[in-house]
Amino acid sequence: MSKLFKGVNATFIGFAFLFIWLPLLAIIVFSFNEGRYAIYWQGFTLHWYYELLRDTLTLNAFRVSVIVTSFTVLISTAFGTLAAYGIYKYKFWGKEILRGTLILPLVMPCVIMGISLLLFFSRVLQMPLGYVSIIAAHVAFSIPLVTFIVLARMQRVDWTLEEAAMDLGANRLTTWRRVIIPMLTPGILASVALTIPWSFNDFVITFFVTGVGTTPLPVRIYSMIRLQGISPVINALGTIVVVGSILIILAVQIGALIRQKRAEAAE
Amino acid sequence: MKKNKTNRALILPTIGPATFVLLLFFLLPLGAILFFSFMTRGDFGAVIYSFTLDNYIRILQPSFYMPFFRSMGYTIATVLISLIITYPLAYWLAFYGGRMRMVWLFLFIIPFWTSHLVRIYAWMFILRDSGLINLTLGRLGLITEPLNMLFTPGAVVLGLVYSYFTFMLLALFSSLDRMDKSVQEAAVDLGASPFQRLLKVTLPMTKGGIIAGSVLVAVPTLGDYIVPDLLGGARVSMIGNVVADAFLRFANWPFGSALGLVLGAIVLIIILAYMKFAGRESLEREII
Repeated sequence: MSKLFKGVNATFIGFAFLFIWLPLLAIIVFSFNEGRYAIYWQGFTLHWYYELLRDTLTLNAFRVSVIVTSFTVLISTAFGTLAAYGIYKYKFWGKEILRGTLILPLVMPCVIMGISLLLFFSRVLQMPLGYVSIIAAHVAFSIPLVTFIVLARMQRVDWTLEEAAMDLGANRLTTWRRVIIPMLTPGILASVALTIPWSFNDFVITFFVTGVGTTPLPVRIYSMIRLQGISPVINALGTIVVVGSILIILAVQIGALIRQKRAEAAE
Repeated sequence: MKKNKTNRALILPTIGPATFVLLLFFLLPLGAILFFSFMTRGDFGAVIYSFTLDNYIRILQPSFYMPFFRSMGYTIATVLISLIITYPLAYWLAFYGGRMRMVWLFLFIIPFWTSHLVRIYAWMFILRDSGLINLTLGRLGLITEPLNMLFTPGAVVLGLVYSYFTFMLLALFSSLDRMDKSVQEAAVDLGASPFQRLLKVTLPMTKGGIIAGSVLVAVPTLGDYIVPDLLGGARVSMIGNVVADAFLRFANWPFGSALGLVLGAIVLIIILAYMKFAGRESLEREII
């Protein structure tokens, strides 16, 4: 009975694993396939990756996305961490309202955020869509993520260290630089690890606030899918995006593990 | 007393920037679509600033309320399928995963953090007429004509489950992992069969996780845009597509705003109901 149960279970887990990874593995494998119509395996090639390198629209879109994500991560990490500190440390009027409002961007359907920002930028502020509108939108949906992750970290930190630093004569800035930020680093790194792929890969909200000439990568991928349907070039691009995202998350996770091991060894 | 004063001075610099961004780029835009939803549509995408309720009345036409019902139906199906698939998975990870269970969990959720667009594209690659599934079945001689899978409700629900089951997995895993295992042993000692144990002990004890997971899957599913757009096509469009079309294709911004707000209101009701049931703290914890 128990053996049968375990066998059934292992099969089920195997299928679940396949379900999750098969689609991604399929496009990764077929991005190296020679045939343009990609139905059968016709031999290994890097041709589609070379084609990507020659595609100026895609290269430009990649550049736009890197710029957008860099600014988004910098701004949202700073603002989000500060807000988490304020929420954790101080009592003020409207704190509950602020926490409630911070949840909203995380649960609001992307389409609604997209149309509302489009309407706001083009009809209310009457400004052209471009880097500013894209980064503003990304910062708005990334701040809550940073705030909640850093807040979670703050509950596991020894705050007497902050008092000790202040008592020993460190000013606010030094205390932040030398004590608070190092203590929060695991939380901040975790939020950066999530904000990078979130911002880089966001399609729906970005789609609405993108202007002419500042097409980010996901919007470029979408228009390629719309124009070409299935194509080995999109497989190659998808492979780069997926593998890149996974590598960033893995790097941060492994980094966190090493830090943890080191801290344990130091004790 | 002095300390209190310095603290007060630091409130604004800490929460100020984030509050400002939320106000300017989240709440005000929502206010803007609320305002525009009561305006009149002009020609060629123009907006005439005169008050009307027409945009909301128009939603009561079948071609607009049908996508709402379809979205709700797909959402219920997605939640149920995610629950059925994920429960055994979370159970196995929490009880038999051993020391490596966090690594296993991690392997199951990594794809979620890659591009949603590319993941759904990957399903197009697999499901299309000359895709991997049809190719394999054809080679095995099981089919002579390709199965028509893309652009069906089944493909959409599959894509939705694939997109959001992670939320269910995390919620179920954390509630199963926190569960006091001795209660299960007690049930076995008292003569409960495995099935009885599941029904009378494990499921009731993880009710919180099941509800949290269901809400967290339902909310993004209901307003999804990419999956019905790429895997569904025009005949199985969901409310997210109708909202986007109103803006991008028909340039009817007042009507699109009204549609979007109704969708937002439904989502808000679900979230508020959940917060009433489980508390805001729980929602914050489950979201991250």
